[in-house]
Amino acid sequence: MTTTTGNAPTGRRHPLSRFAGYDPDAPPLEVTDLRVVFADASGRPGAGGVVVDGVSYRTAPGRTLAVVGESGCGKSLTARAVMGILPRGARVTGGTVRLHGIDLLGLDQRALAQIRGRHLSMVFQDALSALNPVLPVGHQIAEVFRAHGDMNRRQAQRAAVGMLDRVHIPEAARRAGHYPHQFSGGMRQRVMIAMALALNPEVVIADEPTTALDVTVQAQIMELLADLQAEHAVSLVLISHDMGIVANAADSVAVMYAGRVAEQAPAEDLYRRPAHPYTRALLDSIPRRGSRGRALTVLQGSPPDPAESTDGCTFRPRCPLASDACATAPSPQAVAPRRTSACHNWKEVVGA
Amino acid sequence: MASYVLRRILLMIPVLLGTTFVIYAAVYALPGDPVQALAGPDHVVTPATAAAIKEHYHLGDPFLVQYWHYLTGLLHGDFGIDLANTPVSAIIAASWPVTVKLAVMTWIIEAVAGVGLGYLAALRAGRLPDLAVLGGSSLVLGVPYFITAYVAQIVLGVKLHWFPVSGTDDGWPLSYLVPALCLALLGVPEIARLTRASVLENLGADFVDTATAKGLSRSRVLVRHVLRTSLVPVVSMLGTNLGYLLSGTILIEGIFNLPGLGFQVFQSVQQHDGPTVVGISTLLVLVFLLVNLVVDLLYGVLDPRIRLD
Repeated sequence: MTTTTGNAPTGRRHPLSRFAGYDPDAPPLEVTDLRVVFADASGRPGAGGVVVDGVSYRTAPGRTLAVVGESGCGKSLTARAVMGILPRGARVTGGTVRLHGIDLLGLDQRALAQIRGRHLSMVFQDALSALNPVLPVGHQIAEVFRAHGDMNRRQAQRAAVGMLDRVHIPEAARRAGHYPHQFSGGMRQRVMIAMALALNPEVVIADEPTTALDVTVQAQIMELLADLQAEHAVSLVLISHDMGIVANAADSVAVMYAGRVAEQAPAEDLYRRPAHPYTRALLDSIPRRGSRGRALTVLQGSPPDPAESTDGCTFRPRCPLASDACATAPSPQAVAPRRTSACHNWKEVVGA
Repeated sequence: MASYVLRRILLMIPVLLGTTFVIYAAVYALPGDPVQALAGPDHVVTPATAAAIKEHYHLGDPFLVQYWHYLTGLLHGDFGIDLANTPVSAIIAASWPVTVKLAVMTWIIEAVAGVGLGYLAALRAGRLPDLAVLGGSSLVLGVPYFITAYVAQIVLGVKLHWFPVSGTDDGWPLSYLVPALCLALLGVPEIARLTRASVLENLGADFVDTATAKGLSRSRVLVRHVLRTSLVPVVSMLGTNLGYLLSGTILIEGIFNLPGLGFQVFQSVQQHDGPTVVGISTLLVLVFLLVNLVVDLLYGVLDPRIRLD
């Protein structure tokens, strides 16, 4: 165990240093070979379809990693496995999740509760259902302070009002007493963000934070996230299926397909020269200014059912470049430094 | 909110008019001679006495005029007098506390046992405690509760002498314990099943994941977020149950010989005692309406999404 000041005030031990394996120089979040398996037909947990199959990614302090892919590709389940809030029947059957070197999957519930909300937090997609309908929003934010600090009720309530103010909710003191249904969609998402960032966590996972919102509000929310991230060097995992949002926000991108990472690259490289046929298909399907009047490029077919195991590359049935080599599943191949592609024919894709 | 309460109270007026009318008509239609009943069965009534009684009780008037006399009396707080010349209000004053004690005790048992068992069953869904609660509640609901009451009376009262067999001589709570338990057997399975379903639904809710992701302890997530939210429909049902319980429980009061309102109504019906039946029934309807109003107001407090206006 390393004792260090990290980014905590000098002279005080970092609160994470009491957990075994803490290393301030390790990536804020590092997922390695993570496997998540659903329950089988008879309900035995972790015995059915493989929904996350050997996913690895890591984040850097103050940077944004975007995880993109179609619905059902396992991007949200990976995040839920990291948070320890998998749905009933789903189990992690392999791999590790490390927060600054601390093995989260090896922690007991009590230790995990000390980390969640304080060092690792999550912004959920649908704020209306993610907020408790019968508790005032101020109370729900105050709970974070109460759970992790030694604040009394009044101090926590004041801190909650301060957070609402920080996410630009007008009349924060009055609004703190209101219930989630009394807020607009964008305001609710601000409340979620206030809750997730209350204690300046090292890592924030934002699961489709703007999907339910209209475009102007989307932009405001993304801007707010970026501001708060910059203030405290938060490492952000942005889960999205919107390549447009990702292009503006991400430093690096992990493209997921059928429970695996298809391609991982710095955002700029990935957008300029995709190295996986699936990435290219995603980029081709973005409507562009010049595409008015022409049919949009659509990726034919649908992702495989995780309940049925597939031999070889899972993208093969939809891939225009499929060859005999694709009968064996490709492992991530180094395309460049900090860049991998799980495709046998990546050279062809980059060259095309 | 204030206008909502006012509107609800005003709505009670037609409901009360309707119920008193129906009950009054039903008692009027009962076979038998009210003059003879008033005078007593063995008494030979002279035509002069009969005329005097008819005159005094407005019995010669048409039904609607009689009803009108009753209603105006009621508005002046006069519930009338029964066959034995006792004011009905005195009968109510004597039997009401018995019913309230029984109802409140039963209700507390229903709330504590029902919510507790339902909560336990939901947290252990599919496992032994859950199956025990579900099976047990089916069993309890399958046996008519007056049978359970008789068995309890014989076993706990007559054979084991643990509790009084009947009557209120041992006072509260001893005299009321077994009747309340038997009566609660009706409500507990209902409350337990509703609590179980509600808790199960909320256990899978997104906001529970949010609460966990905030770093709250499991127990805090379960109590503050799951249980608190699950109680909204349960409180509504508990409130309705209290309304039913307060409006008298004829069977249990009869079996255990508790002189409560239900017991009185039952006796009065048998004796064709119109004023008592109508008086008590009217009061019970009023209590039921008021309890339901309180429940609806409470519902709005528990679930802020429900707006009362």
